[in-house]
Amino acid sequence: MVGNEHPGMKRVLVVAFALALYAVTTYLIPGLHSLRPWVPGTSLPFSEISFAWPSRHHAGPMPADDASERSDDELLALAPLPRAPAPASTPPGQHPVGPNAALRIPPEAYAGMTRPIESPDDALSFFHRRLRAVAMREPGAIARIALYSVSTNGADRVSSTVRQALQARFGDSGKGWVPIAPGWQWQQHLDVRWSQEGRWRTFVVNRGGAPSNRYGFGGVVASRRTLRVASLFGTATRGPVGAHVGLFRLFYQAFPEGGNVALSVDGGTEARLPTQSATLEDRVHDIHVTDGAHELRVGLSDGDARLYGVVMERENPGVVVDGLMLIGAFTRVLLNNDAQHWQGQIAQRQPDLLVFWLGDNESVADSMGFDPTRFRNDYGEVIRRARQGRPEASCLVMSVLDSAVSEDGVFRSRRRIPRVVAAQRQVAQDQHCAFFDSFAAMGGPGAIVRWVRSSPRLASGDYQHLTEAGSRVLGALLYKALLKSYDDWLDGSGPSR
Amino acid sequence: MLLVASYAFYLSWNAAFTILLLATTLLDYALALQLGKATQRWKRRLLLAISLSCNLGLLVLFKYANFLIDVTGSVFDLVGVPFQPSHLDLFVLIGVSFHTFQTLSYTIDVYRKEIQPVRSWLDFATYVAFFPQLVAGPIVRAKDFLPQFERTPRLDATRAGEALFYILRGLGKKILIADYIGRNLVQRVFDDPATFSSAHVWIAVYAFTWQLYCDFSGYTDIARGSAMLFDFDLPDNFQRPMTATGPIEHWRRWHMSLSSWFRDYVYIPLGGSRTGPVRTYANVFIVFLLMGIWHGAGWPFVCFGVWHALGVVANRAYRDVRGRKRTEPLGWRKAGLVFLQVSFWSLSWPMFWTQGQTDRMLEMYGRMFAFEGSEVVAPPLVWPVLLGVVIMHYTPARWMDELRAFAARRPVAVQAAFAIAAAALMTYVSSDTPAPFAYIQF
Repeated sequence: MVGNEHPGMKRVLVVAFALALYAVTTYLIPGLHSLRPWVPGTSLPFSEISFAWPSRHHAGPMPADDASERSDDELLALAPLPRAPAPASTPPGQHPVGPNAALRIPPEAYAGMTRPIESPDDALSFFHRRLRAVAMREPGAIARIALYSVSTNGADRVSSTVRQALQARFGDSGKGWVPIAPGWQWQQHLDVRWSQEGRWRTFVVNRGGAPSNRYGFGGVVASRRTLRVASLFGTATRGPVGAHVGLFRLFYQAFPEGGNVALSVDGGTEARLPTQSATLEDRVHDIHVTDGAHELRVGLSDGDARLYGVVMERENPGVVVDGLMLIGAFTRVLLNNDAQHWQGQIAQRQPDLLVFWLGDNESVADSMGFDPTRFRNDYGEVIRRARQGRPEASCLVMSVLDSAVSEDGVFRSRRRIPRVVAAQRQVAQDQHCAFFDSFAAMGGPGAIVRWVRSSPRLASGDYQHLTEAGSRVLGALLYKALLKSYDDWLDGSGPSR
Repeated sequence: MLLVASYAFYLSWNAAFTILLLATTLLDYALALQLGKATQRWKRRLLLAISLSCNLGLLVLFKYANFLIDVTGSVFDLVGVPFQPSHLDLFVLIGVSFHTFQTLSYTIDVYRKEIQPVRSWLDFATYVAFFPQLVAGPIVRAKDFLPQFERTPRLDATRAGEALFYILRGLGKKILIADYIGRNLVQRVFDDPATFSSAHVWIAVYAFTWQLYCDFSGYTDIARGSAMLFDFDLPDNFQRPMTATGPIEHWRRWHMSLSSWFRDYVYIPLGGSRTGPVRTYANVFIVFLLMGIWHGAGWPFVCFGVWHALGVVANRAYRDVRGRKRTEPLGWRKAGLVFLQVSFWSLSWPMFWTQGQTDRMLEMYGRMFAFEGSEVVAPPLVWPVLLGVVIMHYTPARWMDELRAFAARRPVAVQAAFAIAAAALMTYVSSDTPAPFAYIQF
């Protein structure tokens, strides 16, 4: 018998039997469900230890366009590094002759789009008209997009992808909005050189505390913390965009105790900008420079100041994308920003498209219940309040991304995600905004698990945030959806003009 | 039966790989037999050259072809020639480096007449395809493994107990430690270093040292334990490498089957240390450069090789200057040297674990040396897990040996209960599936 010749085999068989008994028991006793070694629909226990590099495990039903099925090259090709030819330059004041057909977008430019923008009420027509003006090289035509987001865009990666792609196609009109100082540790801005000397005291809209509840266009206001403090805003030295600037516009607050701001361009003579005023008011200060590579230093010479941010733009026709990241913010915190003040800031900034990509924090706050009615009300109020600053601007709501949590040892999409998306879609309809279903665009339920396991990895191991590659993919999907929407509008097959 | 099981194992993953494995096995089997018969030097060299070409050719094709294509494209770019060759669309050949080196060691040993060519095709094929170790080592020498076919397999109770100990220890290292640290502290940082504070990136880099050690040594434990169930002995691959006081000692304790392979088949044929100091240093540099490149195709892996090559050369030069009469460091001095060596080792990870992406590697180093921010965000349990593995690593080696012997001699009921507890704990702690073993990609 085997046991006699190989006494150890008997031991192994006993242990194996004991493990099998344990496994069976976990299926028979409901309370032990979290100890089940295998859950139907997932791969066999430990099968991926030997087989899996790189993993192609799927957590659920496969959508038609699953990112993880693509090869690395195909996947990264979705990230639209600006390969599109620059639009033909036409001298200012002259319009290209021809119908819209000349402005149409070739289908290959948005090939790979997984989800179109839902725009039943002609919600994007104003933005599309601005884009067309840009495409026709009308003098001073700039199409501005203001993208309010949370930590899913905390590093400006999604907005930078959209920025680079749109600017490659329509023209580079500058980096856009950059806050005076990062309001959150992990906030960064791309397509620009941005650094600080000394330390700013920052107030962010989701933590409150700003004097008079004024947080500026970007949700961050900064004042002096250390004696010597300054911020530097320079054109990018690497990358396809952001290498030129023709205008620095400082957004700041004038107030009774305001001190002087020291401004210098390219290390030149410092100009003093007083911020003292009898009454509290928001102002801007323009510094025009010759279009090219420049650096602005914004420091405090004496007294204190309350500074919001700097806009870096150019005068030539093109697109600007403002990345406005509010890391960790729940939607309703934007209501902390004084309404009139915020509307004034928006009116000053003049975005042509307001994009609201909020709600991810509500969708992952497992310890809190999700009240769709309250969420819709808050979100609707945020949009309504913002649009009062520029009523003609188009509006786009982006849904939350997929995120997952471990249930019984299996990572599954959070159950509330579809409800959050539905609420956001309803908000868009109520507020006459267009809607981009990011959740569906990335693959729907289970997408985040596939994105975590794809190669290159598209989502982080927290099953919530995107990696750099994933941000580029999502940015590409949004860009293509915007292009398609614009092309449909040009074609007339979209909502009427 | 082992052969059938091994091939079934690979067939269930990838049929093309299985066919390749079979083809190279047949080729090396036949070549070795011819080598055994051939007496003329030119013929023996030719046969060896054919084996080297085929095996290394396979390795280069599946692992380095696209990198070489990129390098070629860069060269063309540099000289202004508008020619950009396309990548080859090849499937991932798991464990190609391990498999290739294993079969090469066989034909080289036959060529050197250190072993006789094996007559039994079954034995040879089983040696090549032995599933516990083919995909991620240890690299097993034919002269150590093939004689084991000649003995009658016998699995006594103590050996079975030891095998189970190794398997459970390996799974525990992998699932409870490596995966946990990776998932909760390390992987996010390597994916996106720019969004973390410098402090977090530094800690992640050090933590990766332990993650990779537990992952890789865990696999080795499982491989050894599984092999023991069939009464085969596989060599150990690690001997508490983070107790080393310098690079030379570290490589004698880390991935020992790889470093000994390079010593025997690259370093010594190059002349080893018999050719004077300059040539010796050059030989050392070449060996470690190749070891770095063995890990992957990409400039970061080249940097990885250079980094460790420089470390070993510097260590050797220091030893040569100090002379052979050097005392073993003790106490705080030893602790300091160990910390320096762990730091030297850890600093190489951005080269090693950024999937060959140079910009990601530079981004990591940039974040580390920006010294910006001190916030580290991780679940509280990560720290005791890390501390626990560090403490266990520095306990005396004999304690683990005694624990293994103790566990192996327990009654079967105790072993079964422990196995159940371990399985329950691993299931509970792990995510839906464990992350793949790190070294499988090589």
